[in-house]
Parts: sequence; structure tokens; C-alpha cells
Amino acid sequence: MHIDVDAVESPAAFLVGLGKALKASQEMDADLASIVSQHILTATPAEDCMEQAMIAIIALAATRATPAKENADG
Amino acid sequence: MADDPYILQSLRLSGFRGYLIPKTFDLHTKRCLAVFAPNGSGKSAIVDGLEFMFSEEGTLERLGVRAIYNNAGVTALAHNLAAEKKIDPLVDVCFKRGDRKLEGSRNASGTPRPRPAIADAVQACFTVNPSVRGHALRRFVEEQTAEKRYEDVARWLQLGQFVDVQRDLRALRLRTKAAAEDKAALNRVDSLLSRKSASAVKAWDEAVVLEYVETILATLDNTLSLKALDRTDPAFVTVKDRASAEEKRIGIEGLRQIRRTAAVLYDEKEDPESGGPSMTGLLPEFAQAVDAQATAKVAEAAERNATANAVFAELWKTTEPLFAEGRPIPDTCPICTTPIAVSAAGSAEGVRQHIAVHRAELASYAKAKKALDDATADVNTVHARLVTALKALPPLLGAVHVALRAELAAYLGYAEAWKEAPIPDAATLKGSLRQLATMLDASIAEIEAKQGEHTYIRSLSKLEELLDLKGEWELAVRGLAELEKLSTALNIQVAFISGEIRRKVQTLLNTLHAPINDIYREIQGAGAVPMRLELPPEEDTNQQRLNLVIDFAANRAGVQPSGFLSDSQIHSLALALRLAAIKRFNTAAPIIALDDIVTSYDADHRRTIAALLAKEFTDFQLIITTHDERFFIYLMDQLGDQNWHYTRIIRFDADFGPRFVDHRITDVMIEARWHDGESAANEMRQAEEEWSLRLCRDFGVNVRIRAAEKAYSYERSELAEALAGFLRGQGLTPPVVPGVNNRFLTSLQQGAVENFGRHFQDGPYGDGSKGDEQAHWNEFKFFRERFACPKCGQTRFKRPIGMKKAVCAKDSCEAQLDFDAPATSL
Repeated sequence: MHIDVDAVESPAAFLVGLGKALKASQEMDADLASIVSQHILTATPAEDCMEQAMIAIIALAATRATPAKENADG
Repeated sequence: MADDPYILQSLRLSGFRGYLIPKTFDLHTKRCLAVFAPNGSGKSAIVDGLEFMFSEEGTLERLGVRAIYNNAGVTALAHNLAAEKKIDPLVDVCFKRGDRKLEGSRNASGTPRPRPAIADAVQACFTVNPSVRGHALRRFVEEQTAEKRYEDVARWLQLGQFVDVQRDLRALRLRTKAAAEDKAALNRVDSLLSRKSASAVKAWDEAVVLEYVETILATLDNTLSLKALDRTDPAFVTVKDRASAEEKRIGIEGLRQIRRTAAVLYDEKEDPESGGPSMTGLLPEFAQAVDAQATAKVAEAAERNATANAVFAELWKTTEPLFAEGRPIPDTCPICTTPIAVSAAGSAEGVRQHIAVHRAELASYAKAKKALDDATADVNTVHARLVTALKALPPLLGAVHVALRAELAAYLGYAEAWKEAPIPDAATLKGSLRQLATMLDASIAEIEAKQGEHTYIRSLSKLEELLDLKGEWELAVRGLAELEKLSTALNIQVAFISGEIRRKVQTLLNTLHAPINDIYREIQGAGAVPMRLELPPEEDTNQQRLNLVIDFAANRAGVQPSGFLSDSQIHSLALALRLAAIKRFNTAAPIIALDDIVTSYDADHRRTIAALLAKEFTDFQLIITTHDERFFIYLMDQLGDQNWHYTRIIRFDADFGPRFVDHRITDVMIEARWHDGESAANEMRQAEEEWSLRLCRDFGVNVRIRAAEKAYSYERSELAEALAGFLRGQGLTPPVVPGVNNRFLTSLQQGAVENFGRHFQDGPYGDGSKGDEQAHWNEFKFFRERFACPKCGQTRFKRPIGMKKAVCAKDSCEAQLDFDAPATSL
């Protein structure tokens, strides 16, 4: 899988496109791709984007580790 | 307007580096500047001024902020005499953007040294550092790490965001991996397990935990055994049922509570001193309190009779001081005016004794009254507690104690109705309570002997705690497994992202290759080997590196330049790379400062570089400093003077700064000296030298070729001699200056003016009188004014090659130099 590389496309636009391609890919973990796109592959990343992404990944792992019934119960 | 580039209009250095006296480089009419100067005379300070102005921290890279290791720190920014001369160390700039002029000033001393807004704005336009220092060029090729080179080039290509993304992804990958390996949650469960099992089980292992559970259940029923720590396990269900049943009957805690409540009413213990029974509780306390109250009542009544005339208590109390010993004795009673002598007491002493007796009677009564009040309060308190305790016990008693409950209810009725002694008989109740205590003590002892502190309720609670810990442990294990999966997935995603960024970066790098190689070929000639910037192989996990390689030969492709190129070739490669990047990316502020960039080149390459600048950088504002005169001359030859200002530093004065060849001492400056009450001798001498040199240059006089180390160090006498020789050859005789014994020019030749006693001292800085200086200055000006075009009055001349006569420099005039014009007297 490759995205179209355009020499004149700005880095920010390129990263956003890269994030979309990542999320759309069947080969990638979609939830994780959303986290990476939202926090890292963005035109205006937060100063603590890495920390926010890490928190989101740990929350995702915790959600997946919790049995379905507990999840449903909240 | 917003798209117009920034153009530097002027740069002013004041008390900065070697420039003590303010020096302005005016670039309004000619935007480019080339400065030739010997080493150590202040040329690099011009580029320093720009570097300082745009620097983040208000310093130079080679100085640093603090004096440490090889850095001199910001102290070295200011001229060492600036403070003494009261000159603020400053760099001032003026930029033009469209029609707007934007000025800024930055202090080169103290803290902070804020960057002015215009410098912020221009700096933001510099994708590539616009200053190129000859001594630093090699670093990019030879010393810079591949990582640093990647960072630099990525920023040139405005790919800084990619660098940040790759850095963040790398960190995220490492942290996710670390989180997947982090056992803190499991350790926490182990720690809790150890605490809850009283260190019987220190780390989670279900088999070991089950063994621990067996030891708990064995105290209750040794047939109970859990196959698994699970709420559906038959043994767990049994424990749960038995705990539920236990809750419904009185357990050991319930028995203890009844025992404690009954003991509040009545209890018997062995007296350690007498060995007999010791009775405690509210029933005996109440009886004792009532007895004490009755005794107090009797005592109070007796004392009350003794003080029947207590109504006189206040009277006696008031009267006592009047009859106190040592006071003057009144003749009559203060109340009824009866003479003391005829009163019942008969005398003052008699009155005193009478009062003392009655006052003592009153004190005994007060004591008895207080004892009665205390006893009454005590009775009331014990009575209230007794009633409460009588109400508390019956609800705790089971059906088997129906008789005792009836007794308690009856006695409660008596107690509530009780007002005063005698108290209701409690002997029967005490007996019943004694029997209850005996029975309870026996039951408690039996249970304690059988199961200790263990109960099904407690055991169930322990099992629930262990089950909770098991849940927590399993959740932590699953969480780590999920993190491990996410870590693997993240590696795949990061590899994908890095691969795409790599393709993007390489695409952009490829666009740089052509201009870099064009410039490199321009300098090195058609045979120059091609270079390229290469990312690491795709499988390399660290993609934030950039290799600069050349294809040296068919069997030496993609090799490091330092192993195959000469010193000057490496220099050219670095220069080509920087210039190509600046040309491509710094279009919003097309300024290039080149400081001594040709040190390692031969003459041909210097000419080539001058030609390159003329060919490729006509749209740029170039500021070039060099100590290489041949390069300087090539620049003048190649670049012309339409946009260029060429100047030389002819010497460096420690208490002034660099002296430029076109530095003019004006008449106004000399007048200002006198106005300030100072000597202008130095300036006068300088002005005479400047004028002589300019005239000699205009006329193209013959001078001796100087020694290499003093190529431009002309002495005034030499200039005067050359000028005199030229004029002699032309058949021109300068007019006589009134008041000067010999011709002024001869005086200059002979040094007569220089050492003229009435004007100057022998030392370099004369302190002749102001009048003498002014007289001499007028003589010079008179002489100077003779050298004007006889036709148009211009003071500049030229003598093109092949022409013998000097003519007026004005193209439309070109009248020959002559001294026919009438002289004006001084």
C-alpha cells in the first residue's frame, strides 16, 4: 500500500492524507490508526501529542482487555 | 506587498565586536556589499552583526551565551572600550519590504537582548541559514552526523514537521513497548495478595492461592475444598450458604455484644484483693448513689437548723470588716446607732466574736448543701443511664430469654417511675443477669475453642477478596497482552508512515540534486562528479539520517566524499549545497552573507565562484567579506558596480574600529572636534591622507608596488611625492598657499607640514592649539580647492588607460586638469 506522493503538497497536507490512508487500510488496526492520526499525523499537533496518544493507547488496551459483559455494564 | 521580499537597507554596528565608533553600511542605492580586508581587521564582524541580529539567544554560534569551554560568551559581543567611551553596544538594521521600511535595534550587552520584531519577521523567512562561513563549510560534508544533516535538510525542505512526527512516533513506539512490558499492575496484585494472606502467598499463583484457601476453610470444615477460585465452585457455594445461615443466628460476635450489654447493668467479678465477688454495673451503682443522696439529705437538714438565722448572713458578712482588728472601733452600731457599750455584745471584741461564730455555722451549712446537690446530680445521672441500659438489653435477647426480658421490662417500669428512695428491689434481676452471663461465657468459650476467629462470614469475605484480586490479575494480564498486540500493530503502522515519509522526503531531495550539482559543476567544471543526498536503506529503522554521497567512479558509486575529493572539492560541494538550498528556499528574504568562503581555492576557482555569483544570484542581496584580494577583484570584474558597493578596510584602530578606504573625514567632523573643545589633529591628518589617496587614484599616479604584507599602506609623503611627480610630468604647478614657506605639496612631500612646529607635536596625536590647527586646516583647504575642474568645478578626475592627461570625471565634461583658475586669498 502506498499513497500518492506529490512534491508540492505541503507537509501538513501530506500528513493528514497519510492519516486518512492509514485509517482506511484493511491491514491496519483501525482504532490504533485513529489514535495515531488524531494525535500525531495532524497539521497542528498538540505540544503533548505523544503523551495524549500514549494515554489513548493504554485506554484502548484496557477496553479490549475488559470482558464484553463488563464493558456492556460500563 | 506581503509577497515582496525583505531587502536589507542598512546595517549599523556600534560598540559591537571590533566596531567601537558607529559604522553604517548603507545599502539603499546599491544593495550588495563586498568588503576586502586583511585578517583581523573587522570584516567578519559585518557578518557577525547579521548573525547576532537574527540569532535566537542574542549571541554568535562561536561565542555561545556563557564563557565556558571554548566559548567566550556574550561578553565578547561588545567592544572592550564601549563602556569606557559610553557607547551602547548595538546592531541596527533597516529593511525594506515593498514600500515599507522596517527598522530594528538589538542590544549586544546585558540581559535580555531581545530580538526586534523586524528580525523575527526576517528570520522566519530564512529556511536555510543565510550566513555561510568559509571555516564552517567543511563541517556539513565531513563532520556533521547523518542525523544532524537529515534534520538540517529536512528543515531546509520545510519538512521539520516530518522530523517531529518521526521523533514522536519513535518515542510512542518505545513507550508502548515499555508499557506492554510493565509489570506494575501485576506487582500491585501480588502486593495486595501478600498483605491479605498475611504473607502466606507472595505472588499470584492460583494453585498456591487455593492451598491457602484450604487452610482457611479447614478450621470450619475440613471436607470443604475448592477446585478453582470461582464463584460457581461447589465449595464456594457451600461457604456462601453457610455464611448466610451464620448471619441469621447469633454468632460469637452477637454473644459478645449481649455479654457486654448485660455487664453494663450487672456483673460479678472476683475481687483480686479480697478474693470475694466484686459487683459492678448500673444496678449496684444506682443503689450506692441513692444511699449517698439519703446521707447527704440528713447532713444538710442538720446544718440547716444550726444556721436558722442564716438570713443575717449578708449582714454579718458586710459588718465583719468594720470590726476587723486594727481598724478604728466605731462608738455606735453602724446600722441602728446603738452605742456599742450598751449593746448585747458589750464591746467591739464581743461584736467580733459574735460575727465569727455565725459565719462558721454558715460555712458548714454550705458544705452540706453542696454535698447534697452533688449526690442528687449523681443519682439523676445514674438513673438516666440505668433506664437506657434496661431498654438496650431486651432487643438483643433471643426467645429463650423470655423470662429475663419480662424481668427487665418490670424493673424498667419501676425505674422509670422512681422519684426518690427507697429503690426497687433488684436482687432477682441481678440473679437472672448472673445466670445469663454464666451461660454466655460458656457459649463464647465453646465457639472460640472450636473455630477461633474463623467464621463462614469471614471466610466468604476472604474468598471474595481473593476473587477480586484474581479478577484484577486477569485484567492486568489481558491488558498487557492487548498492549503487546498494539505495540506490534504500532510498529507496522510506524513502518508504513516512515516509509511514506521517506518517499516524500526522497522526492523532495531529488528536486535539490539538480541545482546542487549545477552549482557544483559551475565551480568544479564539467568533470565534477555528481553528488546526492540519500536516505538510509528502507529496512533501516532509523530513517532520520541522511547520507551525502558521490558517484566517484563506476566502481566507486555512492561513496563518502571525504575519501575521494580534494579539500577544495569538498569545500565546493558544501558551498554548492548551501547556496542551492538558500537559492531555492530563502526567496522571501533573499539575503546571503558569505564570510571568507574562498580560502581553499586557487585563482581559477575564485574567478569561477565570482562568475557563479554573478550568474546565479543576481536576484539576491549578497554581502561578501574576504581577505583574498584577487577574489575581491574578480568580484568587481564579474559583478559590476550597478548593484554593488565595494570597499576595503585599510587598517584597524583599537580605539576606533576598522578604517575603510572610503571612510571620509569630513570638514564637519573636524569643525565638530573644535566645537567640543578637542584637538582635530588626528582627523586633519587622516583627511589629508584620504584626499591625497583619492587624487592619486583618480590621476593614476605611479607608486611603488608595496611589500605583500603592507599592500595598501601608503604614507602621506609617498602619495605627495607621486602626486608631485605626476603634476610635474603634466607640466602643472600647484599654486602657492599663502603663509606657507615652500609649496604646500612640497611641504607634504618633505613632511614639513606633518612636523610643522607651530601645528603639531611629534607624537601621533598632536595637542597644538586650536588656533594653530585651524590655520593649518585653512591652508590645506585652500590647496585642496585648487584641484577642481576648471570648467565645471567637479573635484573628481579620471585618467583612462592610454591617456596622459587627467580629465574631469564627469562624462559630459572631461575638461583637462589645470590650475588656471584664480586663487582666492586665505
